[in-house]
Parts: sequence; structure tokens; C-alpha cells
Amino acid sequence: MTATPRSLLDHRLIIVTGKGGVGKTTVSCLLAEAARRAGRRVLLAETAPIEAVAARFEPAPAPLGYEGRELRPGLHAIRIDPHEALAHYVRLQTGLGAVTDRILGSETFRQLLEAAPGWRELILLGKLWHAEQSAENGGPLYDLIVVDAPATGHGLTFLDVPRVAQQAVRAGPLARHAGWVETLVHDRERTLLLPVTLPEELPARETIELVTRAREDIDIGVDRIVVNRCPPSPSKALNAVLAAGGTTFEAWPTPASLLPLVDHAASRAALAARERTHVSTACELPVVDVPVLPGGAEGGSGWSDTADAILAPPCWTDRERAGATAA
Amino acid sequence: MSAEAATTGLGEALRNARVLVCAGTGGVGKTTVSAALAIRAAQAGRRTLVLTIDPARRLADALGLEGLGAEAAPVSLGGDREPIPLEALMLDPKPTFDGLVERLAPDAASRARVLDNKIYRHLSEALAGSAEYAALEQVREAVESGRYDLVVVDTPPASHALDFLSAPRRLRDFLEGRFVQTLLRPAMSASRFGFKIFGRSLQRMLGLIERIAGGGFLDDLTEFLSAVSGLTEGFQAGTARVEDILVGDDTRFVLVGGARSGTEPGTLEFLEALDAEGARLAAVVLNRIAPSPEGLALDVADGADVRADLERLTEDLARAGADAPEADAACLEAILADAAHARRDLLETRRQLSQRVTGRGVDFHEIAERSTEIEGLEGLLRIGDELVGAAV
Repeated sequence: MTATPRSLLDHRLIIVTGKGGVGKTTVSCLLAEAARRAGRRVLLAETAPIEAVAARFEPAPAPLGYEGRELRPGLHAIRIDPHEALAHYVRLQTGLGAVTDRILGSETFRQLLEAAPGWRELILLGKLWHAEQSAENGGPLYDLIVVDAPATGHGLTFLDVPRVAQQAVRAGPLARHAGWVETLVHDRERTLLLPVTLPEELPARETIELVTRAREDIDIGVDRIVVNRCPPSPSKALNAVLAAGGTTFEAWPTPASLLPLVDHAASRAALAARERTHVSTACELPVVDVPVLPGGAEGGSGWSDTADAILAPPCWTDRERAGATAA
Repeated sequence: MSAEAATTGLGEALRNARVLVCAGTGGVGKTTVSAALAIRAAQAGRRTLVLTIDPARRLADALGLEGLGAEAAPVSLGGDREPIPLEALMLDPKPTFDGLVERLAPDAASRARVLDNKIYRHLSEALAGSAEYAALEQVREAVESGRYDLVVVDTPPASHALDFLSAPRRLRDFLEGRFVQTLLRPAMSASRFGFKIFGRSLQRMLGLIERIAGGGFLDDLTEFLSAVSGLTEGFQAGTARVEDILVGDDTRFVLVGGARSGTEPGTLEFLEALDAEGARLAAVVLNRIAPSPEGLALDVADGADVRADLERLTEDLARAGADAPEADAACLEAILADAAHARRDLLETRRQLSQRVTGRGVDFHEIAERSTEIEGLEGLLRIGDELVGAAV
């Protein structure tokens, strides 16, 4: 294990993952924005059925769709719809425009797709592979691809699909392409899995399971954990000054009425600190902290000025390990 | 949902329902709410089972679930409290399709035929709705066992509101669908020669699949479908009964939601899904309401000018000898901005949800966020009091 992991910017594909509701989309947007500000050409891909990315960048967002658009200079965002990606892929393979469309649009084919497991995941990863391979003027079209991955409700199965698919289909173009995708998933140079968690018991537990699985079953690079919504931790001095009651505020309520809130915040922060240490220690990974963002989880664009924080070198949460890695 | 399907709140549900389902997005405390309600029903003397999924450690301790297997275990309230007729059972959060096949296969040969199939072995995990369906099967077994007056169900985390409710129907639709039925015609199972018996459009489609997926794939797929079809009868009977339970007269739903920004779209989606399925909603519970001090202006969330307050506080902190007065003041600013946001999110969530449920006999409850850990037994009792009034 190296002392300090490589910069996030030194990867080609970063798969942002985690339990539903932990802030995968927030972290994906932070990372994409920070990379853009660092001069990288970024593709930000969202995969959920309901678009959420554009709303972080625009007050009145229009849908991104499969082609996507440039949200900020250097930042192209798309939503990968599996059906559109499949149609795109099949057309690339067969070249039969109208006939293919008729087949893909038929009720029978729709039923086959309902039944066929794994194709959504495979086609999603295939599209990412395609984007990673896309070139322009002799160089890659995108320096960094950030994926707001599906929630881990069903584990990391989607990353295993290329391997499984090759066993299921054995021959033909699909098997060959699945092989290319699998190589990309396992490539430590290009690809990184970025787990996002909250400093709470259940998300932390699920993250520990996820990291174990990523190491043992999937064989994908993972070098840090993003701990999202780290609550502010008030000091004893703050508590003492408010308790003294000598300060008169204009916009804020009286110091006395703020005290219970500050006490509550201190208790929540202590719980959060414990869970943060727990997840870091159990996974043997350093963490990157993302505070509760100004403007709430998805309000406004005040967050983009603080996006760089996501690129900060991850830190160990216990002193012993910090000493060991420094040595 | 018709007006007739309206219910009259949590109290009625706890007295009369046979099944109480706690639904909602992940991370909102469904497990806690379902456990608290189950305790209240049992305290009123009803033989109650709470089926829970992946409880937090202290909750599992409280329910005596630590280290238990697949058997329901009695729950004791501890101390000198009277014993109550409550049992708890942890649902397998990742039930394998194997278990389902084991249960549904009419005989050993059909079971082996499915389990040995190449495609099944590789891909069964992802078969649409199988995890949700397997969870529902466990609910059905508990209800039909006759051992309980009330079964309280904590639903599994789902990426989509409909996953849980529609799992039975989706599995049945798939098995009865044209594609499966067509592929299962006897002549097809042999090989590609079977193509001839199909219409041209289907031939084209199968040709396209072979071109991309390679020869042999369709044979494996057909074999898989034909093996699974041996289970169809079991599926159909099972799914029909599960659906009856979910939308039956004796079943009530409790929708649990958070009040933090970003949780309300999921909660509304659930509400719509429940209505579309004709589910009987007894209550909406907004959980983990963050504290908000009297007199905190909502415009603090919009960055109202608090510079003067910040400066004053920083000075006072410095005078009091604080190590980092500016950081301390900024910390309070962050706490207040967050509280103002939480307050506004709550008002918005409350408005959206109450608009949808008023006049339908649906209770509306709010539970404050705790400053301590996830609830132990005392916490569950307190939440029960908050939801349905102090125990008699």
C-alpha cells in the first residue's frame, strides 16, 4: 500500500458508487467540476432513470439525454439510457438501420430484454469503454470520465457482468467486446472505484461490505473513501461563549436559544467522527471529507467553488496509521 | 385509490390490520418505525411478528436478533415489563434465487434442471425482481402460518419504489410473456433449425441476436427458459397470493420518509406507487426531523447578511480565549445555515405530502432526530408513544 494514493485526476475512469442517498451525484459533480477547473476535459455520465446532474449546474435544467451537452467549458454530461445505448451498439454492429430499429422496437424484443439479465449493466460499461477509447486529434476525447454509478442495492454485480457475460455467450462480437470492457474494469492505471458513504452506522457498514467485495470478487482499484456530509463540530469554547449569553445578534436568534442546537450538533458530530474512523479502519483506507455543502444537498451552485476539496489528498483517521505511512 | 379504500390512521391499523408494511426510500428509519409499531401492537395483546431487514446493531440487540438464524424469536422488553406476544425475524436481505427455485420446483428433477443450467448459474442473481419476490414469499409464509394476528414488514432497500410491490407481477408477466412462450415451443428447444417455424420478424430478431452474441447462446437461453417454465405453476399460484396480501383489505401501509433535502422526491414517488397499486395507506411518518431554534430566519439558508453577527461572535470568542475564534464562528454559521435549510426542506416536504393525503384518513406524524445513537429498546418505546400516544 503506497503512502499517498495517486491524484484522482491521474485516472481515466472513476466509478462513483455507494448506497442510495449517500450523495453519489453530489460527489460525482464535485469531482467533475474540480477536474474541469484543473483543465481536464471531463465526461460526467449519470445512469439513474431520473436525471439529477444538470440541476446541480443550472437553475432551470433541460434534460441531458443520451447525447448530452456541455454544462460548463470542458465538462460534457450525458445520461446513459440502456435502451438507447443498446440501439446504438446494435446499429454499430449490424449497420442495418431501419430493420434493426424495427426489431429493437418490437414487443417481443422488449420482453426478451425484460428477461435477459445483465444486459443493462454490460451496455452501460460498454458505453463507458467506448467513451474512454474515443479520440480526437490523436489524443483522447476525454481526459477523465466520471460515472455516477447505480446504487449498490444489489451490490457491485454490475462490475462483474463483463466477466460473466463472456462465459455466457462464449463467442461472437459480444464476447470479444465484453473482454475489452473487463480489461478496463480491472486496469489499475485507468480505472478507480470511488465509494461514497455517510458518517452513519448503516451506510458505513454497507461501505465496508462494498470495499471487501470490490477487493475479493471484482478486482478493481479502490484507494480511498469519500465521507459525505461530515457535520460541523462545535468546540467547547463556542458552547461557553453562547452559554455566557453576552453576545447580541442581529440576524441570528439569541445565544440561549442556539445552545440546544449547538449541543445537538456536537453530539451528532461525535457520532459521525466515530463512524468515519470505523469505516476507515475496517477498510484500511484513508478518507476524503466532504462537508455539508452550502446550499444544501442540491441547492444553488455555491458548491462549485468548494469542489477542489474532493481532490485533497485523503487522510488516515487514526494517528498510528498516519505515523506508519509517514515513516 | 378509491375513497372506500381510505383508512383511519395508525391506531386502526394496529388494532385491525393483519399485515402492516413500512415502505419508503432507504436511510429514513423504516426498520426503527416498523419495530416501534410492532411493539405497540403486541403491547395491546395482538400476536405480532416483525419481519425486519438489516437492522442497525443496537436495534438488532433490542430485538434479540443478534446471531439468530432463520427462525422467529420472541422479543422481551426486559426489566420488569410484562411479556408481550412479539416475535422478530430477520429477512435474508440477499435471498438467492436458488432458495426460490428450491421452494417452487415440483420435483427434484425440475430443480436440478434449473440449477444446473449454464445461463442460470451465471445470471440468475440479476433476474428481474427475484430478491424482492423472495422477500415477499417469506411474508406470505408468515401470514399464512396462522401464528400471528399481525405481521409488520420492513421493506428491503429498493432503487425504485415499484420494485417491491411489482416484483410478483413482473415475474409472472415475464413467464407468461410471448417471448418465453414462443421460445418454449417444443420445436425450438432443439436448435436453430427451429427458426423456420417462426414468423419472419422473429427469425430476424433471433438472427440478430446470434450475430452479436454468437452461436450457442440461444440454445442455452432456450434451455434456461424451458427449465424455468417448469416452475411456472408454482410462481403463478405464489404471485397471486402475494398480490392478494399486498392489496388486501387487511393490509395497511405506513410510508416513512426523511425531511432532508433530496429525500422528498423519493417519498412522493413511493406515495404515487402505493396509490397506483391500490395500497391502503394508514400513515405518513416523517422521520429524523432536525431541530430548529425559535426565531431562526429561513433566509439564513439563502445567505442572509450575517457578517456583523459573525464578527461580533468572533470577537467575543477571542476575548474568551478560544483557540480558533474564526473557525468556531464559521462552525456556528454552518450549523445555522444547515438548520435553516432543514427547516425549509421540512416545510416543503410537509406541504407536498400533506396535500396528497389530507381527507383520506391518513395520519401524519413527525419524529425528531435524536442526538444519540440509533434506537435501543427505550428509543423504540418512545417512538411508539410519539406515533400512537402513550401506551395504556
